[in-house]
Amino acid sequence: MKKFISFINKNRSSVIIVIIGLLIRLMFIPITLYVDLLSATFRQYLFVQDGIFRLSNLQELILSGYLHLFNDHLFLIPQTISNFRPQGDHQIFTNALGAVDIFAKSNLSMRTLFVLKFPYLIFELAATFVLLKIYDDRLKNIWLILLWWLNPILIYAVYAWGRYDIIPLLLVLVSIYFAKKDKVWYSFIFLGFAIACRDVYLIILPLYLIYFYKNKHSLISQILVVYLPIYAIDKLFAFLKNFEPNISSSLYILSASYSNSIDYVLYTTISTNDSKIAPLFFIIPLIYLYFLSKKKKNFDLLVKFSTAVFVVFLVLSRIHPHYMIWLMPFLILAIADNKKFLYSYLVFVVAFFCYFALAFSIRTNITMFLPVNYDLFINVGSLWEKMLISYRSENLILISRTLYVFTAGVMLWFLIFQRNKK
Amino acid sequence: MMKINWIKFWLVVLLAILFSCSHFLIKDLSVQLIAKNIDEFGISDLEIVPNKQEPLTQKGAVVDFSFVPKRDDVSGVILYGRKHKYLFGENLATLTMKINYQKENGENFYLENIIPVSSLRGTIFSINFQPLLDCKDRTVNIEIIANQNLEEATGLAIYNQGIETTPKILYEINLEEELKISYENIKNDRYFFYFYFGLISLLLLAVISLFVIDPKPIDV
Repeated sequence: MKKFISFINKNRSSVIIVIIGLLIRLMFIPITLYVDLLSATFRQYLFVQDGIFRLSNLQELILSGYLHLFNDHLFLIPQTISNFRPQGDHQIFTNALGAVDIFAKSNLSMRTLFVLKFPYLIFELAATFVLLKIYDDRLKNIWLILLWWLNPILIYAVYAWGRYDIIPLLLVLVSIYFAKKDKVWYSFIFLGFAIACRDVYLIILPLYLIYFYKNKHSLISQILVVYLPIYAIDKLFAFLKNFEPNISSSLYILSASYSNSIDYVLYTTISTNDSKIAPLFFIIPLIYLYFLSKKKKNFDLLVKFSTAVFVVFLVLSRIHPHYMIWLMPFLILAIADNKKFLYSYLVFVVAFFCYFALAFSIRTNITMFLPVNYDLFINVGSLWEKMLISYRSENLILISRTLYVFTAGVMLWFLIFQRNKK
Repeated sequence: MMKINWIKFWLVVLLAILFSCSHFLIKDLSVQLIAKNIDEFGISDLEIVPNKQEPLTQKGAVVDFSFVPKRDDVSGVILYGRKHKYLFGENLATLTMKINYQKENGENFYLENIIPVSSLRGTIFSINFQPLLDCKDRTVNIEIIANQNLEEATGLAIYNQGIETTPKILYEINLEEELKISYENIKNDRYFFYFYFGLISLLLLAVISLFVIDPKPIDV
């Protein structure tokens, strides 16, 4: 008890921030519902209950274990699925749009959402533990806690959208931790696991290889070590798929150990009359080359360049709003190391929310709250939408997108060309 | 021994009082929100049926449409100028708006408003009226009639020619009422309600205690 009180006394501000962060998360957990959370849960249920393996990725496999433990308490999931199965309608395992209505109207929806999103809190606590091990500086750690636990993008993506990207985030953080401690092989193994969850983390692999480069042999071994978890999980998925009982239904979802997010990269192009160029394909290699040209490469530089690569990727490709959390581990570490990024980061967050509220998720954002007041949110749009009636939405999208790209550019400048003033 | 920081304590009390007062702030606060069709969910279908669409240049010309609202308290419509031109006319020129529908108890509701043309400058026409009670799932008919010849008047677009010209319905939303409904919805699952608010209260208490109680000085 004495130890506990002394711990609280020593870390009072951090504990207050974490509790406030928890309160904000708890407010979102039972009242927001996004369709992807349902379809992923249905696939997990199919695996846990019927042994039919149609999981999309490693995150779903990990969460299946949790679902197995709490299966008896999730009455609403089988209830919802049972509305579709007798008719042989298995679309809900790919896209649960049709099931949103049934789920949101139920009295048990908030309780079920709480159970489904609860493991994200555990992953976040684990991520915080790893985050605090990276730097020994007390002030930096308070900044890390603040930027993590009161991070609007993280809260929005994980708790409002209910996405499981917190799992690869944790794996990447572990990889960064080992990179800081110079434990090369562990660092590459965890990066491999993160890539197995989300193939997008492949874009920081070249930076890791440059940072840890010793000779050609070590380079090849490092690539093999990264590939090892990806290969193992791929084989595991293939095995589980072949191991299932005969399926007489029309279930057709393809299981893969990694997602296809790379498809989105051709979104932003510079076009002339005759041709189109995707700037992503030359800006990211240029960042790799610039990192390679640096004579002194340290951990902070690795973090900064990884942030830069992600900023470019996320700004110049077609993304869903929740993808933005892929950037967070690097960005938070970069800000904690150099507070100059903070201001551009804050503007970036505002521009991000404006752009995505206008361009992508205006309807998603309002229907998300169906469980708390079905009759209201099914029938009305947001205040934002009413405002758009008077102002041309195309112009507002253009302005917010420009601000979003511009602040990303400013961040990029600070990350790559500015030196830290120690 | 615990030592309470009284400045922080009174600050928390002040915040609690302000929070309680916020109830009075939203008590009569209403907002107007647009009725939505959420096609991708396939769970709402608010369709506007055009009955008549005449250019409002001649006295007696009519724009007439009907719809079946999904909620009570319809309080306005947004219409679009068909030719993207202003409604020109004398400063005192007016239009008449007639609204009628049959309530569930069989009673006929009829409302007539005079709308000054000068209030409809622009290509988007937002026309508000008193919230319609007991209109949910009833066929509401709205008629707009020109009261005199107008120099250059646009027909209001009421045909479904894409998002830009589809008329929109506005609902009056009372915030306090909606919060009460949300609260009742959470309360429907009693055990979860107790657990959830218990957890929130516990965390709130913890954060207030940590904020208010000063740390014990570390012995040197």
